[in-house]
Amino acid sequence: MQISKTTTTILACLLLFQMAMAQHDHQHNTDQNHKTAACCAKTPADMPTCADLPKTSVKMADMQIPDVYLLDQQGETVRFYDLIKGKVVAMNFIFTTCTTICPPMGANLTQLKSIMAEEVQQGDLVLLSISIDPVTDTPQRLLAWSEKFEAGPGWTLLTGDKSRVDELLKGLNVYAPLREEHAPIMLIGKEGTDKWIRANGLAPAEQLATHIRPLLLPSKPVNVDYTAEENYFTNVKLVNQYGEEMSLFEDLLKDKVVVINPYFLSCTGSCPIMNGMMKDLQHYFGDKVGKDIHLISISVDPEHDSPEKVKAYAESMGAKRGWYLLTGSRENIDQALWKLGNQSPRPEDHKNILMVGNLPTRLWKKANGLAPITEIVKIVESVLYDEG
Amino acid sequence: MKDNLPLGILRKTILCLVAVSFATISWSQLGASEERGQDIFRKGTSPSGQKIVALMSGAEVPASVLPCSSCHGLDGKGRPEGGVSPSNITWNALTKGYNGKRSNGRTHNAYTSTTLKRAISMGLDPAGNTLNSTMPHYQMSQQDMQDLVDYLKVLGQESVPGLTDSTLLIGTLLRPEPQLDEMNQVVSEIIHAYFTEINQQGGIFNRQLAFEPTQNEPLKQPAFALVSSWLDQQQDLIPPGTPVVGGMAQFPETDLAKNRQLFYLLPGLDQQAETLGRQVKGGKIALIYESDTLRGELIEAFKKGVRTANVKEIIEFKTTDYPPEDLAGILRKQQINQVFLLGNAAFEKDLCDQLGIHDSPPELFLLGSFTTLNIYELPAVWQGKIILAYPQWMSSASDKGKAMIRYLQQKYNLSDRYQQSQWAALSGAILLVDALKKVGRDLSREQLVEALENTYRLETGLLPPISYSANRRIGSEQVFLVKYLGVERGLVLTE
Repeated sequence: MQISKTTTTILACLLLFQMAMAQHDHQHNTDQNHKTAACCAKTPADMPTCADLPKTSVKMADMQIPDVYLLDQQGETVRFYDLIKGKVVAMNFIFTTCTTICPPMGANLTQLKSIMAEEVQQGDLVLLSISIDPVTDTPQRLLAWSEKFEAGPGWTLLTGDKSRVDELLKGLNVYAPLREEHAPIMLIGKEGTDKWIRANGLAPAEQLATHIRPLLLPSKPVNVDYTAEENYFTNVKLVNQYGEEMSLFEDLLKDKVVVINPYFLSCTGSCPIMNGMMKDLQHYFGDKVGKDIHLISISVDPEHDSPEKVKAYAESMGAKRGWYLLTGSRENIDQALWKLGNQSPRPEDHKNILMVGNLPTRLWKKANGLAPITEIVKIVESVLYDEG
Repeated sequence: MKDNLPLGILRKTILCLVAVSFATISWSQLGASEERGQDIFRKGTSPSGQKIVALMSGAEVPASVLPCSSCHGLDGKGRPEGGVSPSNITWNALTKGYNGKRSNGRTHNAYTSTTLKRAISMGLDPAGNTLNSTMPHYQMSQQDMQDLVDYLKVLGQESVPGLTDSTLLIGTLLRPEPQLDEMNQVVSEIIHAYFTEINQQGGIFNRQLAFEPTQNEPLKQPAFALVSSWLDQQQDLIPPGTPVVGGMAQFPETDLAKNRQLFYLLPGLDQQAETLGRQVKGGKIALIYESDTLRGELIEAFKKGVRTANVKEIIEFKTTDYPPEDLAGILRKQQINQVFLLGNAAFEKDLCDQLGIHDSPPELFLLGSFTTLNIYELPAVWQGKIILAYPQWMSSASDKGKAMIRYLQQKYNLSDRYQQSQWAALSGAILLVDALKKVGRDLSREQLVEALENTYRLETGLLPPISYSANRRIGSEQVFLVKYLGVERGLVLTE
């Protein structure tokens, strides 16, 4: 009995000791939390700086994104902001027990992934599917669901604590109280910019890709060495519809993606068609014309096409700045056409060929100027996005 | 007399069936081609093994990702979602020859086999209009296509097993062990009594519940669903696709990929062992067990529950390596203060007697529904030293629940033995009836499974609240821990 009493005493002491330790630990933790919270006020050298701490939210266009921690399909904790930081992102919203619209959206994303395989592989394009039913959708369920599409790596599926996921969905403006009523949206954009759009997630993947490609455009190559181009094209002077003199390389070509066609005002055959097509391109590319793209129409009959006549014609076509209809001295025009490989002995003999070029990347293509506009747009876009 | 018991049940059952089934319970079998077509319709894969591909907006995926039933539903009537409204593709709807515009804005004649095949493979309606772009184009062999169309012609008209206009057949799988005949009878009778009550109140949406128990052999005719108080070895008798409410099992099959249809009421032994493991506090613990697969798994489950930070040492002993008296000596010498015991009855008794010779035996953990040790025969020093885990306990029953079971027992002159099994069986029947009522008159097995899946905190009055979800197949996850307080005070629920 004596022994057992001693044991009891020792146990009691131990217990007290443990309780004291626990108390201490608790206090310690509280202190830690306190310090973390106060980080932004004062940052001693040994404390994490504010930059290391999760942002409370990230702004994307009209959306305010809470910086939440979620689980991916492998069960790993991921920070949403880390996934999208500085990236071009395409995300859709699914749940694994959904039968009608989610499987097609999954198939679409898989197709998108194979269309843009290189961009995905290099990490330029991030593909996300966020569960709108996180209570049911465990990481294992998401994994099993994604495996049905045989998509392979490069597609992250997210779930997590319901309140966190709901917070995110609300931030992205895609929250639906009833999961069956969620819209088949694909949110496409680039983090850090205002370029975000809501596309129909059931639209053909090729169509979705056209929204994504512009976002992937490399920021313009800086310090391109244009010496060779400048020496070749030269700065021969032409006159635009506003009566202004423009240097061929410096004012018209440098840094731009260009579409060039020959025309003359008295031409009744192919010219109206080709200029009509230029008008369509001006409309299609909108704000880009003038900024990234120059549409350049060069008269092959400068003797007759005076700047005044060209001006009237340009106005009748609705040409804006960025679409330049050029004329000038015969000598200069010939040099320009010769440099562009589009010279013809008589105006009527001019070729119905469009020159499409990307000056910074040095990609040039020729297109049949009488092809349907849809085909021409494809070629121009392939040069614009430097797809080779 | 005892031998006749199961027959007795059967006789009653037959009477009950005669009483309720004026309309014969029949189920028309699908033809071979239709059955293959059903497979294609439901799973998107061909029984022939030939590849079926779905093309949607340029994407090519296995048709198993986009089977017909996903969007059009198992009944073919269409499941609208997110602004997409898949058409009703039952043969009746497809062959209606309207003039003028249909609700989808298109005008076309009634479908024929040929135009239907074209719709499936090329996405064109009989008039050549393009179907909605969310309808994939399917590429499959001619035979598969023929099978699918054959099935579409009967889709929505197939009879459901165990279901007629006026009856609904529910089966029960009795335990196979002959020594449990009496328990089997008690369980059958309480379910039958409950169903009789339901029938007297008008049945479920004008269908009378028929009931058929079976033991060791398949049901004579397929039941719509099954209810059992215990489900282990009988699992092989479950026809595929049958929803089952099983009370409990030693190791519930909770892998949804293997069985989506199986719903347990109570936690299995593994979950009980894990909960016991969580009770381990400080010091040294010995795990003493007979070496077999079942006990091996329970030991692993127990260890999963032990918070290792708390324990100095976990020592394992196999009962075959030591006689009980030697083991008792070793436990004392090593100052083991806790024991988890999974032996056979004789070994457990001997060991506890040996450990009970001394004043202060270790704390003993037992699985209440598994051990055969009679703790009431143990030396008095064991008072307050034994903790047992149970999947259910008297405390969970409400007064209303107790009154209901007493009412049934008195009205139908039933035994009040095997209370635990009766509670589980009756709770299962209550759960099933609740889910059937939620589905409504238009009934399918898939809808029943969905209704069971959406059960949230159902009060049976006998067991803790029952909840399921798409990921959950154990209705109550509560494990009851009770302490043995001696012969007079018995077992008391721990806080």
